[in-house]
Amino acid sequence: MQIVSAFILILLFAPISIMLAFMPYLTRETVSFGVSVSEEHYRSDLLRGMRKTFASISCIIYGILFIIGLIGLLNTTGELGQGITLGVCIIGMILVSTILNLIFYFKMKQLKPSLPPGPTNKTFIAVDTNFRRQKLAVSNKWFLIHFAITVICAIFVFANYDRIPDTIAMKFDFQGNVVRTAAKSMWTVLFPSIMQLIMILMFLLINRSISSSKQQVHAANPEQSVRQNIIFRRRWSMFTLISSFAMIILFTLIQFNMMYPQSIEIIMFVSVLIPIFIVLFALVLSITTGQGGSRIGRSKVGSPIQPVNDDAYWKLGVVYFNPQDPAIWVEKRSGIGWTVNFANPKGWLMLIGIIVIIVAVSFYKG
Amino acid sequence: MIIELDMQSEVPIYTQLVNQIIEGIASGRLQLGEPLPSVRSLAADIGVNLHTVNKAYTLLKQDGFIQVHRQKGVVIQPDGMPPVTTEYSDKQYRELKPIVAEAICRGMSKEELLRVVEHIHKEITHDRKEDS
Repeated sequence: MQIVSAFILILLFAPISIMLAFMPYLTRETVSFGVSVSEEHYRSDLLRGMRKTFASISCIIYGILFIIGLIGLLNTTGELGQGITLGVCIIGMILVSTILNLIFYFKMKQLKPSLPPGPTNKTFIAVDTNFRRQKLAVSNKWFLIHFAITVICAIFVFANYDRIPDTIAMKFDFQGNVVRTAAKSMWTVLFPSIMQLIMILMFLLINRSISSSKQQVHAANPEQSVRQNIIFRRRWSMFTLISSFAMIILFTLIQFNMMYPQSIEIIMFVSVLIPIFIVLFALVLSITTGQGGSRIGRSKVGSPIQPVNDDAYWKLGVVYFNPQDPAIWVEKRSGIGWTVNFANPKGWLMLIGIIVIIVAVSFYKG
Repeated sequence: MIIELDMQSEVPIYTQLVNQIIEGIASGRLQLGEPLPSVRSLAADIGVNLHTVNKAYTLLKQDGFIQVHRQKGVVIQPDGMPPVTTEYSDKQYRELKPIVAEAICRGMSKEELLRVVEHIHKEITHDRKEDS
């Protein structure tokens, strides 16, 4: 069964490594390592070389981490050892990616003044007055399906409470042995339903933030950039809808397993398959779409127009802090997706809310 | 319509906004009755203070270019554009005078100046023909 955990490691670790290593290629072409540049500069040999160096160094380090992880997994038995190995791998990955990004951010910041200036030093902000009238995300009504499944399952569990065995398996190790059991109670059997409800709320919030986040139009080619941005939002909204559906199904399965224990292989298979599906889906979407839709129908020649220089508001190239900006959600600078304007108290409230929910849930679970 | 704002210009953002919206109406890129984004969402999209957008909208509303409804939000005046009033004529006269004066000082001929006006007029109304 160690082979199974090695297999999980490969299927989860590899796509995430790829995404981290090639992130500079997926950003908007007006941002290089968290510093704003023109498209022309982004495509220059110098910055191309920097991205290549970043990707190769990342690949080598993640490769080494990966091999260490594999050896560790194949040589340790028991849940604890494997858990530690996986934990070390994940922490190593986060550390490596943070350090590499910081090094390249400072390098890029130093390099920027030496880049040749564009034909004009004017910088434009473009906004489309029609943007908010477009369909930017899938309707929140779709989440009624998720909600319906959750409610039906909860009612079913409630009605069949008598049939549920007195002790319930709560946790399995990678070998499929039961590690922890709990006595039957309403709370235990309905816990998956509560988790599902919380997840639906979170995904609703994400879907809302996708449609409400700040409009970002590239002044050099506004029409195309608006189109790209709309497709970008719709695709990630669709991703949110589908991946949340997969999660709901997973929790439904766990709940049913409490009443009618299935073969452990099936449960293991599905509970590994769904996260892998979500990670791979995100990888494919990131590569085909790019940040802000920048990879959809890219123009052949990069525009020399300088984007608005808002580097001062991007602390270390990642944290957005702009008290003048009333926007709460903005596009991330490095990486794919959205981040919060930390100068806006509403942004803080939302982040704290999400963290509190996650901590509260894991506290009750444990 | 796509509004372009020059962030380094000496012209304040609200004035640029007012000018761009009037130009949009003149060129036909903004139709009568067409909705405009709310103050909040436009301010967030540009990344400026709410007051900046509010000021632009207030000025446009005062002159009769837009309507601000409680439910429908902000729309381009559906009942047609404001006419040429004596007030407007006075304002236009005041604003054109320094432009004409500077052109004379710089030795621009009357014909050249008129050609510039004609060119701008053509440029704005050109879009209009393509649309309809």
